[in-house]
This record gives sequence, C-alpha cells and structure tokens, in this order.
Amino acid sequence: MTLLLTPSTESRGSPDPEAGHYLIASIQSALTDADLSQLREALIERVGRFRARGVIVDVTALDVMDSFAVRTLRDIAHMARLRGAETVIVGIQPRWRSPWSSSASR
Amino acid sequence: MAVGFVQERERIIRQQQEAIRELSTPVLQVRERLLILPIIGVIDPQRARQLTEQLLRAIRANRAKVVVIDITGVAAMDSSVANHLVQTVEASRLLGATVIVTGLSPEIAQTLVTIGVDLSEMATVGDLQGGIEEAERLLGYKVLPFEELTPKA
Repeated sequence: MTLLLTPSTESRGSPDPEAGHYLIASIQSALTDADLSQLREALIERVGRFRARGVIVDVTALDVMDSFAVRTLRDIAHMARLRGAETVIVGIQPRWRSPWSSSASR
Repeated sequence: MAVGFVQERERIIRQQQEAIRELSTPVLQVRERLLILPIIGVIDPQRARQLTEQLLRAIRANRAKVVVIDITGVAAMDSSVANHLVQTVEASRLLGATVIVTGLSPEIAQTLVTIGVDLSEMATVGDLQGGIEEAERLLGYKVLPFEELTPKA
C-alpha cells in the first residue's frame, strides 16, 4: 500500500512563491511489481497535474528491495525530471546495499 | 493532354504540402531574445530537419538567448526524433541560445526513459508556463502584477 500525498496547504502557502509544490509518496508495506508500476504512473501523472517541482519517495517501511523496485524508482526519478521535478528518495537502508550498487542507479 | 493534367495536380499537391510544412513550424518571439517554438502533431525526420533549420535561422535573426520548445501537442516520439531533438538543442547552444523543452507527456517521458535516450544535457520543464518562467529567470526578467509596480498612495 502506498500513501500518495498531494500538495499540502503548507506548501501552497509557503512564503517563497518560487518553491512550488512537491509530492510525497509514502510506501507503507511491501509492493508487488504491478503496484510499483502503478505508483510510477500515478506519480508521473500527478507531477504534471500539480506542476510539482519535487517528489519525495519514502521507502523506510520496506523490508526488502529487489532490482525491479530499484529500477522503477530510478525510472520515476528520470521521468519526473523530464516533467520538471527533482526526486528525492528517503529511507534507504544499509542492508540493501547490493541491489542499489549493482544496478546503475543515479 | 491527360499527362499535363496529372502533372498540374502533382504540382499543386507539392505546393500545398510545402505550405503545410511552412505553417506547421512557427518560431515566435515573446520577449526580447526569447523565442518559442510550439510543435504540434507528428514529427517525421523531414519535418524535424526543417524545424531545426528554421529554429537556427530564427535564433540568428533575433539574436535569441533562450528558446522554449513546447511539445505538448506531440503525441508520440521515437528514438530518432528524440535524438534529432538533442541535436537541435546542441546546435542552438553553439549559436549561443539555451533551449528549454516543455510539455513532455507522461507517455513520452516513459518512452524516452525506457528506450534510454540520454537527455541529461537537456533542460526540461513540466509545462509551457514553467518554461517561460524559467526563461524569464535566465534573461533576468521578473513579471509582477501591476499593483505591485505602482507606488501605494
């Protein structure tokens, strides 16, 4: 399950108008490959709809991360960049080191 | 007699095709040294070439510093067109203009990432509004509502 948070009232009323909106995707439990693809579609669509300048993906709650998940996260980052938003991935755990370093992540 | 008729028709069709091509790639100036190139419809290699040519000529003529290429109206893009776009960006840079590409649809973003076209050299912004804002920032413009410009009484 993934919690998709769209631009909050705080970010909309932020003092700096240049700051823009950002999206937060908080992954709450293990995701299947289909879930991940769906998350990717949803995020990329919302980047355009909300004119987001940033995307935060929180993966703290995940126990394992396979190569598909890593690739999907990398694709999210690249696609969001093409649509005008930077991506920050938070909560990467040290024990996932091998899949991250083996697949060419940005 | 019949041959002449067919030739005449062929000539008219060619002329009209040429007219459509000319119309389909307008390069517009929105501010001093800022150009916009909206692209609508299918881009084939020939159109891509013509587009590049016109853009480069316009950059020269207007002494443009920033160009915003808006591809909101482009439904699909393959690797050859994407590479052509990258080359256009590169050529513009040599003429002294920064190119910002805007309006990539989710589908195109997905295609480009999947086929692995390297677009890291290219500045992309979500939509045309964002692209123009970014261009104004690069040119040192700041757009303010009229009330903020006039001193308060």
